[in-house]
Amino acid sequence: MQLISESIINQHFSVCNIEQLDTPTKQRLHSLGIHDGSNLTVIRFFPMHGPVIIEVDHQQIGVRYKVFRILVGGQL
Amino acid sequence: MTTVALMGNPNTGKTTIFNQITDSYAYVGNWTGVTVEKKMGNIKHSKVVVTDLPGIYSLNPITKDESVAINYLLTNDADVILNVTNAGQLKRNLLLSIELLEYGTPVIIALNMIDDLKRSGIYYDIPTLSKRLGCHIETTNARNKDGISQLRDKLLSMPTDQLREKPALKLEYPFMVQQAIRQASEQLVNHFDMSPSYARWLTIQYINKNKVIRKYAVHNKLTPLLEQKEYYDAQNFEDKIFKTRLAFIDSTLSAAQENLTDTKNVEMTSKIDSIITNPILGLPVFIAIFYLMFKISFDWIGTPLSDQLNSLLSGPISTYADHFLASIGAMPFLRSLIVDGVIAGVGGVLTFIPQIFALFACISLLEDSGYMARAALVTDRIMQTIGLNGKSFIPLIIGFGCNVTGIMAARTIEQPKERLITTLISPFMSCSARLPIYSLFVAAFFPRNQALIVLSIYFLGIAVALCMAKFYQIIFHVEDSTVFIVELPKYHIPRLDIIWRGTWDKSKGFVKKAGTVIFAGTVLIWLLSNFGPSGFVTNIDQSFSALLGKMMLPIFSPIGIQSWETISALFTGILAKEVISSSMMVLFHTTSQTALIATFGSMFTPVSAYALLVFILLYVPCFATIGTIKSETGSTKWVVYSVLSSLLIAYTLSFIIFQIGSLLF
Amino acid sequence: MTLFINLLIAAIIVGLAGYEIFKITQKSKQGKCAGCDYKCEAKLMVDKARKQRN
Repeated sequence: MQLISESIINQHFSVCNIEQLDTPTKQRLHSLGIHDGSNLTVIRFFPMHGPVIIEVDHQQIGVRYKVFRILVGGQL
Repeated sequence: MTTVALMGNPNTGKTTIFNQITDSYAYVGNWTGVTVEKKMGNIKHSKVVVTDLPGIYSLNPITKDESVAINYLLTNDADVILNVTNAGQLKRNLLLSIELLEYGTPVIIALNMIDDLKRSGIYYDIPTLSKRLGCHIETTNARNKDGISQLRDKLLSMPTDQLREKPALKLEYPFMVQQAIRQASEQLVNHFDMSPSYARWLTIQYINKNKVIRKYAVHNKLTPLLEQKEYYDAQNFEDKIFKTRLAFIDSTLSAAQENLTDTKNVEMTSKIDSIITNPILGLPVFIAIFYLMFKISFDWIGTPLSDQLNSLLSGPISTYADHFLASIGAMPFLRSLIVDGVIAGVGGVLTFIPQIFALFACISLLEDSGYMARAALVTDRIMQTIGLNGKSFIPLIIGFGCNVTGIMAARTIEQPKERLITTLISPFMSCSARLPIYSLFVAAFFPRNQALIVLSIYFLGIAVALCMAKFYQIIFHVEDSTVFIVELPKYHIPRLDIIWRGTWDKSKGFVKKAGTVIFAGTVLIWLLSNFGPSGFVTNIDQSFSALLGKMMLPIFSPIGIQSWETISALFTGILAKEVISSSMMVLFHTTSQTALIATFGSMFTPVSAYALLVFILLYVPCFATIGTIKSETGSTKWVVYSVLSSLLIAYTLSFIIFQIGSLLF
Repeated sequence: MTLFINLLIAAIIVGLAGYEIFKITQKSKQGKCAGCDYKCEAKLMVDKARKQRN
């Protein structure tokens, strides 16, 4: 996993599949202004599928790896 | 009397603004969820009351602390809402602003942290923003007190009666939504006697699946809304509303945006973060920070100062007090009560003030800088294995100050079961009240490794808490929750006044306790050790506390406690943990730490001392914590459970440590 | 006389301590910290709101 993550750090993705998330997570992401089509930059991964730091609209947030996988969908 | 409600996203500086415009002050930190209850204060020299509410992302609450805000809107009638926003994150901050503007109460928006925005090379044309949003806007930078006096003047000069007349913000929602809102709100106005803007707001919130409003509608039998529930949800109106709001914000911001030419964007935050949130170094850095904290509190600053205070107390103060009392004709028992009881006990605990201040200063520094959110992130992977959220870590760290506040902070956790687990494990966090007794014992038995031993106790507390969490997770069948979204705020350069305030805020409880609970506990133990079944006793061995202690001795000897005095002290510790140290001073008839340390030498070995510290760390939550567990969980069952389980765990662990330790050393 | 004053002062101290213990148990029942006044006035308001809802 480390190998894949190294290569996508600082890469940009377009957020998708927010609908697939559970309601509270979806609601919170929406409140943070993150929606399908938002630009997402990967800042950092934590080992063993730990949280991922992403940047959206100049704001850094940490999300669980599982959520991150869904948000970037097929682009990974 | 005008009332102003402070609302806004978490970590936008609401509490900082609150502190600066009001007489009173509240506790500030650079992470989400500092304010878990509302606080009230008066604007200086006026009758305007300001209420500080917990930060919310939207009016639809996910956590318990967030529901305080929406309940406030439903039950109270604020004259003005002061919406504090983070200017650098205006896009998402305005999502909440729209909800507030639709509510109809006059809103003032404060664009806080305006300096961060300018630094990023963007600025907004305030009149354009103000016109589009239909409300007054002030720019502030609360940390440097910029714009605060203008904001205060504005609040004071608000002609609230006239502002009421101003219509609430009305967005152009898609036709179907618009029609649904109109129909429902017309009926609400006609049949439920609501004002048009309130009815409209209520309808929008209802359509938006706001949990509190949906309950409110059921409770108040608002049939126009209840009947349409399926239709609203099936049509996915919630999403349409969100999209309309987003589009409105985008157009508003792009209309108002100005680009500044000069952008020296020095990214302090990302530089620091390359170490602090480094995937590999993250955890070691976290531990190192704590080690450094204890090093400062014990080895470098705390203990040396504390020793000075102690020699002053045990020497001149006690002797002088004793002579003085003798000279005015006080009888021996009164002299004993005052000198051996109150001065030795209360004074003895007060000599630990330097350690406690130093530790709290360190914690305040961490909070103000913005490290806490990172700590939650770094520890999330471990917490996830246990089935908790990295966010649970924050209440636990607050628990280092006082378990009561730690449990209160658990309100920021979304899942009810996780919140219950966090509440149950919070008492295992080593609160500052336990610090004096650690300090006493590490000075006696581990003078060279004070910081290390205390660090190990703290981490043992964390470890026990986490193990118990894992256990509860299995028992309660908690599913792995995915709601873990933490904002990483930009680092602040710590400000001395804020750190001082934070330190004082946390420490004043300790000072205050000296006059109340510690005093009470000390007098109680003095009574118990000077009276026996036969009345006043001169030989302490015939006193109640000796009888009680000796009776329990067989139970405690397997964990290495050989003296009845310690057992009696442990009992008084339930009042408050500081009382353990004051009781020991009273029971061992000494005002001086040095003398007490010498006495310990004959009663404990380093191993049994460590076992005792572990027992003290875990054994029973103090009265205040017990009460808080009761009020937060709402059941006596959990309180009884919490007390019994912690006793069992404490006994087992210290038994193991003492028995195995005795074999090894 | 001296004995009386001595006893009186001792009684005051003990009484004060007893009162404090009473206060602590009362406060704890409501879930407040014995030392820090963790936003008592605000808590009163919350309690009021809670009662209104019930």
